[in-house]
Amino acid sequence: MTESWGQFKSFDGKKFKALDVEFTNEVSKLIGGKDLTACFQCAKCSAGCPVSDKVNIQIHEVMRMMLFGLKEVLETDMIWLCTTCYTCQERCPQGIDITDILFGLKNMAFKKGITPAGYVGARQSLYNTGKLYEPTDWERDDLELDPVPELNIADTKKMLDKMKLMKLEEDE
Amino acid sequence: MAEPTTKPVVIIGAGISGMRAALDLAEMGVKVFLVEKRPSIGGHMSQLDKTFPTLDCSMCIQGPWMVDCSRHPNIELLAYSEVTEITGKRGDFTVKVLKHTRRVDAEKCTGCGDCQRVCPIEVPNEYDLGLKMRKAAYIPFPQAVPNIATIDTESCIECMVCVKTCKAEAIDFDIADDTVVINAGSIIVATGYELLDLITVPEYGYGRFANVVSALEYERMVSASGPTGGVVMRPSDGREPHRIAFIQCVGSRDVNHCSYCSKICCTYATKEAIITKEHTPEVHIDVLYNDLRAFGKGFEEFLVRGETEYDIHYVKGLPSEIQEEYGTNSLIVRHSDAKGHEVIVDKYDLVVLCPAMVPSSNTAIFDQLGIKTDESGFVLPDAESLMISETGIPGVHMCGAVHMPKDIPDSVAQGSAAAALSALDISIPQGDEIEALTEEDLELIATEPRIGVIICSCGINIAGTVDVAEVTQYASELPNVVYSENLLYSCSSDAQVVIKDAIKKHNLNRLVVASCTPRTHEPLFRATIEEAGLNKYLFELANIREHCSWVHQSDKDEATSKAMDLVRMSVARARLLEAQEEAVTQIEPTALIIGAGVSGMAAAEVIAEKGFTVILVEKHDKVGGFLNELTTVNFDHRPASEIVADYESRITGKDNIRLMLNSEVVDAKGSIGEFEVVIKTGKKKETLTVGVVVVATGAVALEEKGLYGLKKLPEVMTEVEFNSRVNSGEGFKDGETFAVIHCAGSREDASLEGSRTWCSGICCMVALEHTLELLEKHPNSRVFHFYRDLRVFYDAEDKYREARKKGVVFVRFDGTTPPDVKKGKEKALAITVIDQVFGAELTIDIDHVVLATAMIPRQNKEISELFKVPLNMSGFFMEAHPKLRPVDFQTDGVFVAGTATAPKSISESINQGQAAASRALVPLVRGIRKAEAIVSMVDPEICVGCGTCEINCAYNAIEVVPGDGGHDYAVTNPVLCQGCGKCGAGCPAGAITMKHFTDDQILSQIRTALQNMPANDSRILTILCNWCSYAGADSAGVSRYQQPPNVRDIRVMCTGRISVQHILEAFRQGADMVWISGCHIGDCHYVDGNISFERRFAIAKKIIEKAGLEPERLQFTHISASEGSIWAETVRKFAEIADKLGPSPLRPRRR
Repeated sequence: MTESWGQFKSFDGKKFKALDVEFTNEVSKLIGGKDLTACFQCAKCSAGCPVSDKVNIQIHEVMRMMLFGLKEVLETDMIWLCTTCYTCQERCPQGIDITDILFGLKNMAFKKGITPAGYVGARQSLYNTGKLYEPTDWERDDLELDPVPELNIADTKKMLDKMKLMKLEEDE
Repeated sequence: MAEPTTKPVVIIGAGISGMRAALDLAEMGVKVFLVEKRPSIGGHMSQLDKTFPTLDCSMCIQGPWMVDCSRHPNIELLAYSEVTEITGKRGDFTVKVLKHTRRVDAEKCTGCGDCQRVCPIEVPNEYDLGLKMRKAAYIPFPQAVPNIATIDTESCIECMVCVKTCKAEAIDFDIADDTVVINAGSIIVATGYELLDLITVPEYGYGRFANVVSALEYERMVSASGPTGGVVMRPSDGREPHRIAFIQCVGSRDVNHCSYCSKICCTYATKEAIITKEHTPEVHIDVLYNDLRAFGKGFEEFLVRGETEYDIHYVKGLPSEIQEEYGTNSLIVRHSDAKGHEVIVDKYDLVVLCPAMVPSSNTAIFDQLGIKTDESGFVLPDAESLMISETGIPGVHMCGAVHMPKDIPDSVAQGSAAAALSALDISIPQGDEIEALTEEDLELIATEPRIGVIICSCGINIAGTVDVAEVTQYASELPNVVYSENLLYSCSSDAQVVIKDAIKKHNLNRLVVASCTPRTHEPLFRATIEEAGLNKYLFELANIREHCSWVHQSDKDEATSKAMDLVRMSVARARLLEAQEEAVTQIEPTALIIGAGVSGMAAAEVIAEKGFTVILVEKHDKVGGFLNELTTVNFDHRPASEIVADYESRITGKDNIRLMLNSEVVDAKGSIGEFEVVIKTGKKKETLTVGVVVVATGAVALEEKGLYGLKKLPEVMTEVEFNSRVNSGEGFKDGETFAVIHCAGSREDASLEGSRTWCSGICCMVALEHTLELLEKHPNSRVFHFYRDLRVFYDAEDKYREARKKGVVFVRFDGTTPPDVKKGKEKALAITVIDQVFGAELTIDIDHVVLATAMIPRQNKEISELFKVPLNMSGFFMEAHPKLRPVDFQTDGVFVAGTATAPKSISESINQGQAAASRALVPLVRGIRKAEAIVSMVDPEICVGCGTCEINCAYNAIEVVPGDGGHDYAVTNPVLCQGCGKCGAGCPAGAITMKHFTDDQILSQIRTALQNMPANDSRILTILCNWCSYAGADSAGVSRYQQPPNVRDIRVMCTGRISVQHILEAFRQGADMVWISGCHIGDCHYVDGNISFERRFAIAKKIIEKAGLEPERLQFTHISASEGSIWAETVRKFAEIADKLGPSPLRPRRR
C-alpha cells in the first residue's frame, strides 16, 4: 500500500496559482497559530531542527507554505517526522509557537486521512486495549515479575471517547 | 522666554557625535564642557580599525578631531567624569559633574607612560575588550585624549612604585574625586550605545567556545593596533582561521531580545570581511544573514563589492546554534541558504557574532531631565516637529546612537544639528580681535636668525636613551644657534617661563624644541612663543622621542647621533622659517539656501533664528519640495501637507528670511564670506551678496515609462500615486488584491549602462507605510510584496512584523529574476515570479500593482557647476567626506543637506538641514574666517598660466586669471587653500611657493639630514605626510616598537607636496634610499594628494633608473595612523634592503 503521507516531496518545477488565504486563516486559528504569519523566513527553525536531514520539506518551508495558503503542506513529511523537541519554538526570533502549530497540522492531516499507516493502527490499539504496546510476558517472567495488572478498558474508553479520539476524521 | 545668556553648553558623551557638536559650538565661540565617563574621549569609533564604505582608517580620520577637542580653547574636557545631577531649565541648568580621581595631576602628567611600565598589576584592557592586558596605571590607548595616565583604583595595590618612578611627580594618591558645578545654558545628550551582552544568546556559545567572538572583538583583532597586531588568530590556539562565519541579527530583530533592527551590522560585517580578505585573500568568509541591509550612501555598492570583488559569501539563513568540535575547537554551524531545501552543516575556524546595539546603561540623568525613552531605552525624539535632535525638553538636545542605532555619518550630522539647536539656547559672545603681522614681526624676521634650542629630557623618556647633554652641547655649536638648554620636561608650565625668559634675554627670533611629536605639542610651544612676542610660525619641533628615543632604546649611541641629526635638520629649517599670517575674510551675514523643501526650511529657520539673513530660493511656486507630491507620510500616516505647513510657518513672518519662489540661481561668483549670486525670478534678475550657501535641492521619485509596465499597463502605479489614491479612495475597493514591487529602479547591476546602483534607502519603509494605510481603510485587501531584501531599520521592523501579522505576504525574489507583470485574465494584471525560498513559480492575479520606485537626483548639474561642487556618478551631490563631513562640501562656505546627497527619510533630511545650518553658523557667528596660513603663493613673473594647478586643486583654491599683455597667471585664493602643497609640487614652471613648507626649507632639511653619513651604515631619507604616516610613526613610538636607526624623517602636510626635485636632491646628497610614505589611497586628508604623488613617484623612479640607481632605492608606502607595527616592520624591511644594496654610488667620497 502506498503511504498517504509525505507525498509532497519537492518544489522542483512546481507552479502555484491559487494562494488560498482561507487556508492561511484556518491554520492561524490552530493552537499556537496566532503569530504564524509573523514568520520572516530566517530559517533559524530549520537550522536547529534535529530531523532536518531526514525530511524532504524543511520546517521553515512548512511555515512558508502556510503563509502562502498552500494546502499541500498537509502532505509534507515534516509534520509527522517532527520529534516535538521544541528547539524551533524556543529559538524563533518572531516568537512563533512552531511546534504547537505542527500538532494542529497533524490533526488536520489525520482528519483528511493523510496519515502514516502506523498511526491509524496505533490509534485503534489505544482505543481497543488502552495501550500502544502489549507488554511481553516472558520478559517479565525472566525477571520474576507479576503479570501486568489488568487495565480497566471501560475507563480508558470513556476518556478517549470524551477526547473524540476515534472521531478525528474528515467525515466527522 | 528670557533673553538667551552667554552660558556654556554641557555635552554628555564624547564619542564621534558629541565631539562634532563640541567642535561646531566651540568654533562658533561657545564655551563647551565635554563630559566623558571613560578615561579618553573618542567613543566606539576609536576602537574601530576602518570605517565603511570608504575603508578609511578610523583613527586617522577621528584622531585629529580628538586632538582638536583637547586643544580648542573653548572646549574643556572632563574625561573620566560623570554627570551626576542636572536641575534647572533652558538657559539656566545646573550640572554637577563628578570627576573621578585618576590619582594623577593632569597638569603635571606628560603622558610618558613610565608609570604603566613599572606597574606590577595587570588587568584586562577595556579598549581591546579584554583581549589584551593593561596595567593598573595606564593610558587606555596610544592616541588617547587627554594623553594622561589613570591609576585604576579598583585594581591598584598601592605599591607606590609608579609614584617613585614618575619624574614629573604627577602621581598623587591623595587626589580625591572632585565635583564640578556648571551653570549651563544648554545640554546635549550623546551617551551613545553599548552592545548586547552575548551571554544572553546562549545558543551561539559566546563565552563557552573560545573561537566565538563578538564583532567588536574581531574589529580589534583585524586592527594593526589591536592585540594581535592585525593578524586574525583563533583565541583557542593562535592559529590563523581559514574559514570564518559572520552571524547577523544576534539579538536584533528578535522578539526574545531586541525586536528592532540595529541598522549597521550587515555593513560593518562586510567591512570586517573585506579587511580580512585584504590581509589574506584565501580565507573563506560566509556572512549568514536574514535580510541583507545597507542604509547609507554607497553602502549597497559596498556590499556588492564585497560579494563580487572580494568573494564574500552572503548566505541567507540564520543558524540556530553553534557547537564546538571536540579537540579542534572548531565550530559546527548548521544553517540553510536562500533556496533552503536542505540544512547545510558547515565547519568554521572562527565565528563572529554581530550583536544588537542597545542603549548606554548610563540613564540616571534621563529621569532628571524628563527625557522620555522608548521601550528599548533609546531616547524618543520630538514627534511633532520630526526633529530627531530634539528630546522634547527645551534646552536639551541629543545626537548619535542615544537616539537609535545609527552609523557614523548620521551621528556626525546629528552632532552638528544638536549644536545648532544648542546655539539657539544661548547668546554667543563676539569674536576676539584679528591677528595680523606687525611691523615688528617683519623686522624681527629680516634680521639674522637667532635660534634658541631646547633639548627635552622628558624625565628619562628621552634622557634614558639619548645623551641629552651631548645633544645640547652639539646644538649650541650649530650655525645661528645662540642659546641651547636642556630641560627635564619642556612642556611643564615652569618650562614655558624658562623659554619665554630665554627669548627675551637672548633676543631669540626662532625657537626649536627637541622633544616629542608636533602633532600633540606644537600648539603648546607656539602659544608660548606668541606670549613672548614671536609669530607662532617661527617655531619648529624635532621629534626625538616618538621617532628616536622610544624606538632605539637598546642603542644609545645611535639614538644620540640620530637626535643630533634631527636637531640639525630642525635648526636648518628654522633658519628659513618666516612669520605667517592667517588670511582673514569678513563674512557677509547672509546665507543663501537653495531649495525650500523641509531640509532647506529647517536650515533657514535655525540660521534666521540666530539673527542672520536668509535668502531661500525655491524653483517651484511653493515650499515643501518632494513632500508636496506625497499625501501622507510616516507610519502614523500624517498628512504631508501638515509637515510642510509646519515648516512653512517656521519661516514665514520673519523679517530676516526672504523666500524667493519661482526662482533659480543662475550665476555665482566668489568664495566663502562673499559670494555674488544672481537669482532669476521670472524674467527679473537680481544680484545678491551672501556669505555662505546651503544646497538643499532634494531628490525625486523615479517615474520611468515601461518599468514593470508603468504608464503602459493599466493599474500599474508608483507609491506616490498609490498613496494619493488610497487617501482619495479613487478606484480601490475592499477585498482587492495588490502587488507591491520593491527595488523598482534601485540596486541595478553596475555593469549596465546608466544603471541606478544605489539602494534608495527609504522605499521599503514607505511601501510598508502605504500598505498598512491601505489595510486600515480596506482591511480585506490581499497584499503581496515582492522584495529582494526587506530594508527597514530600528523600530520600523515592528511595522514590518505588523504587516506580516496582518497577512501581507512577502515574496522574496532574486535580483536576476524580477517579477513579470502582464495583463491578466481574471483580474487586471497577473504577476509571475520565482519565489526564492521554494524555487517554484508563483502566478498571482492582481488588481493593482504598486512600484516602490527609486529615489533619483534632481537636475543638479547647474548648481554643481556654479558653485564648483561635485556630483557623484549617480548624479547626487558629493559631500566633502562620506563619513565625517556629511553636510560639508570640499569648497568651504558651501554646505549641503537633505536628499541632495542621497535618499533620506524626512526626519533625517530635517536633521541634515539643521546640521548644515550649524556648519554655516560657524563662519556667520564669528563674522570672520581665518584661513590656513600654510597656503600656496604664485609668483606671477614665473607663472606661465598653464593651468595645471587649477585642474589639480581639489578645493577650487587656485585659478588662472588674465594678466596684462596677455600674460595669464595663476592666483591662489588663500581663503579656500587648505595647504596640501600639491600645486607647488606639480608646477612645471616652479612658480608656486608653499608657505611654511617651501622648497628651500624642505631641501635644507634634506641636505642637513644627509651630512656626516657614516661609511658603514645606510641612510634612508624619509618624507612623511602629517596625517597618516607621521602619525603612524608616532604610534610606533608610543608602542615602543623598536626599529633600526637608519631613517631620517621630514614631515610635510601631504605627500602631494613632494616633488621629483626633492627626491633627486636626496639622492644627489647620497641617500642610500628615499622613502615616501602617506595615507592609504582614499584616506588622503586633501582628497587625492597621495594619488598625485603617485605620478611623480613614477617619474622619479624612471629618472633614478636612468641614472643607474637600483629602483628599490626609491620606495613609496601607505601607512595609517594606527599602523605603528606596520611602520616599524617597514623600517626594518627597508633598512635590510638598503643594507643589501650597499652605499649609494652617489654618496660623496670620503676625503
